[in-house]
Amino acid sequence: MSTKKITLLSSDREQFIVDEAVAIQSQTIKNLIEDTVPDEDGIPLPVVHSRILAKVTEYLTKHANYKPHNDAAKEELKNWDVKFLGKLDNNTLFDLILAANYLDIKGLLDLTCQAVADLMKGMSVEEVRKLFNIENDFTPEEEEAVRKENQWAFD
Amino acid sequence: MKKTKTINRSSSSSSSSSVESEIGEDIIFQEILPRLPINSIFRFISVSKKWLNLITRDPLFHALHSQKCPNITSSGFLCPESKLFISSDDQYYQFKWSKLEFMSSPLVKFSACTNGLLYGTLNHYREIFIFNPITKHTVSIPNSKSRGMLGLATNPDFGFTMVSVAVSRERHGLLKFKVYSPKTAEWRVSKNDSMIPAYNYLFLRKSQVVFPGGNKVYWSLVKGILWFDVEKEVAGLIECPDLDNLLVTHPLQHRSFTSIGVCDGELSYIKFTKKGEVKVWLLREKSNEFKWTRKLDTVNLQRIFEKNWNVITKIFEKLVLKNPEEASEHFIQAGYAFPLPYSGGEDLWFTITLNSDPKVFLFNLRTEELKLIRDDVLITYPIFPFIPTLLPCPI
Repeated sequence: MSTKKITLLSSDREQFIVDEAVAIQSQTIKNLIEDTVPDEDGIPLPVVHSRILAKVTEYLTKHANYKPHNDAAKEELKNWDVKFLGKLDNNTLFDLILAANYLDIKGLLDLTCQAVADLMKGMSVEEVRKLFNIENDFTPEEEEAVRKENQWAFD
Repeated sequence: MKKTKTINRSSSSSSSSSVESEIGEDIIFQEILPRLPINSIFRFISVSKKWLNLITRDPLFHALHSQKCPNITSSGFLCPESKLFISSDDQYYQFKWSKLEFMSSPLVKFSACTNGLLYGTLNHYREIFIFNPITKHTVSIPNSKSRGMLGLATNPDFGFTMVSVAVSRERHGLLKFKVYSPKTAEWRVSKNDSMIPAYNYLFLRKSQVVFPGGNKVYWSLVKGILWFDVEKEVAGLIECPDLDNLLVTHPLQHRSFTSIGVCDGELSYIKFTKKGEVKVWLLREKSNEFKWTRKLDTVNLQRIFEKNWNVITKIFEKLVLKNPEEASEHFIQAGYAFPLPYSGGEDLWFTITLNSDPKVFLFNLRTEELKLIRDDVLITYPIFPFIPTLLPCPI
């Protein structure tokens, strides 16, 4: 069985050659294949760095070749996902979220966003602000009032 | 919540690995926050004004949250009188309902919780309230003239239907149903064919009511379960399982050692037998026939006490309990120990009430560890199974 190969081009112009079946799990790539005349070097993905595209293709390759038929296989894939996430630092995780969102890969977006949500469960308010680079626009009095009003969550 | 085009936003940030990546607000608000359990979300309302607004006031966010968060970690029990939420993940929350004076009024009667909404009557049964203890969103409707037992069914399609069941005055011994929906905004007597004789099943004054989802509301009677289908407006009675071993306290109280609850969208029925066994059933419906299915192996109160004898003797120091066997017998015979509704998983909840002071216990079926829940605040009945939600009361 011959499969059509697709070349993806990262923002730093590195080429990634994958099976079409692997690539079109990304809705954005699928649309690009259908709607645009391909670049000589491949399909340009100007917002995804090679470091991240390597991770994305790793995920896509595993999930394309692995259609779970039973519970054991599903479990295996889940374990693979856990391992895949385990190797990432926060920065890479965030870049992956951005890439998954841009490339429109629902499974990867779900997986990475859940990972961040799980990370947040153990965090303090200050840590969350730092994580997302959010400025605290409450005055200390306002913040205290907000906390008090919803005290049940601070026990 | 404003929707922005993510593609434009992300194009600037991820091109270089040395720059700290920033995720757009749209991804945080639509993809990440909705996956957090409610207790965590509420911890983050003070992150910024935008977050506060989103979490407490944005209906779109509330809807997203109910889709994405399975809520498993935050189910537990609500004690409205004590303004307390107890969850099995070892967390207890004291609500602050200072602005809602009616919650502490002696004229409030709590009926039950359905899908995270607490409901009951106010003002000498004249009014009915539906209240979300998390968001404090409240809806009130007039009560029906018959002042029957209430049952609330909610559904994204029909909003909600309030059912009131009372003994019919015209036809002796029959139960009559009235329904209220926000569309018609009035009480209407349900079709005649839903009137049913219930005397064989002993009517409970303090019946428990649950709505597992779908179209049926269930009330517990002493020997049976009463149901009403809000869509078809049909009612029926199902005999409780294992009636030979049914224990009832005082005949006037009609308090049986049973509880009904919701487990994975099905009705659960838990009971203590005279021998101190704890048994759980699920009610399954298949092509209009109801069938009880046993859930869990039988657990014995005596065994629970044996495994945790030091916990029990410490709490009930004054009782001078000799051994687990006698203690279990004593608590059951004297009507002190009652099961709380079973909601699935490894958690068995029950209460032991001495001198009107209910102590809530959580027994883990796997580790066989028994925990006393929050002894420093006074817990008062009623105790309702409760899954927090951010969704407002449907209108």
